[in-house]
Amino acid sequence: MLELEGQFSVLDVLQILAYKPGEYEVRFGDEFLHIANGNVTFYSGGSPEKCVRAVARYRGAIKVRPTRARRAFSFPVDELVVRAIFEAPGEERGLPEEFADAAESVRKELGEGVCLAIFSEGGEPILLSGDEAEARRCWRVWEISSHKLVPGLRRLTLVAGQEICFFIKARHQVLMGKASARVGVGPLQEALDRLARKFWAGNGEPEKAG
Amino acid sequence: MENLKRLVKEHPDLISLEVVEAGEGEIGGALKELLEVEGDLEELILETEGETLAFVRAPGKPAFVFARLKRGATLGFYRRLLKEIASEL
Repeated sequence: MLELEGQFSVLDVLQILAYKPGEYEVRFGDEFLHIANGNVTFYSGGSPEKCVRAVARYRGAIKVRPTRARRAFSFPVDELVVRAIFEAPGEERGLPEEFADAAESVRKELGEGVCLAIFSEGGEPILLSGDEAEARRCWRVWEISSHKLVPGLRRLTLVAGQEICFFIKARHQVLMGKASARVGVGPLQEALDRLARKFWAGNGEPEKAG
Repeated sequence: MENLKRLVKEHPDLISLEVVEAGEGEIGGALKELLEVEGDLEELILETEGETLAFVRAPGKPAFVFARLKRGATLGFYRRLLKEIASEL
């Protein structure tokens, strides 16, 4: 039994357990997850996606003990750690969990290589799901277009080689989605319109363009 | 050029239609910057409350067919039309 008292990150513990044989329970706050031979197999809060966000958020005491792991799914610990580090931090900046769930479902719908981001007007990614450097590069397209091509830009669609990119502006934020050109401009726009409606539902609709 | 003018007359949703070279003028300057960020840029559609600007690149060239469209114009149709023009540049 390992007990860590203080402000610890679950990620630190998971990295130790990622390649350790055996079955363990990691308890953090009121929640726990089970690991069996390098795979997370159970999370008390539900799906692996929710687990990613929970472990990214948590700071505090952690208890680890050997156990017979429950098996609801199998998700490699090292992948969970990477996703928690690179994808989930946006949520810590106050975005609702429902949006993170909706974003996850859009990612699944649009397939591999999808990048989703919500930028502040200044170009800072408030939420990011995907490659940050790529998202920032896409932001440059919005920035140049809105400053130098057309003031009052509300929606932007970009087709470039094998990739397509779509932006929607709402108030002081900009939602961006990038996907493979195979997805098609129409389906990408529809998926992001849906996501934008979901995200801004509590605060009115996103601004509509012509 | 005459051909572009004729197309504007024929299509009521088309406000204007022109060819813009990247690097030339204000719009061309912005397009050049965009090409530096996204070298494979093929199409760019910018929607505001009142109008839609569509840029379609001539294949392999730093030149774009640039159309100003009225609000509510059928984008699919005009994207195809602009692609057709761009392929002949």
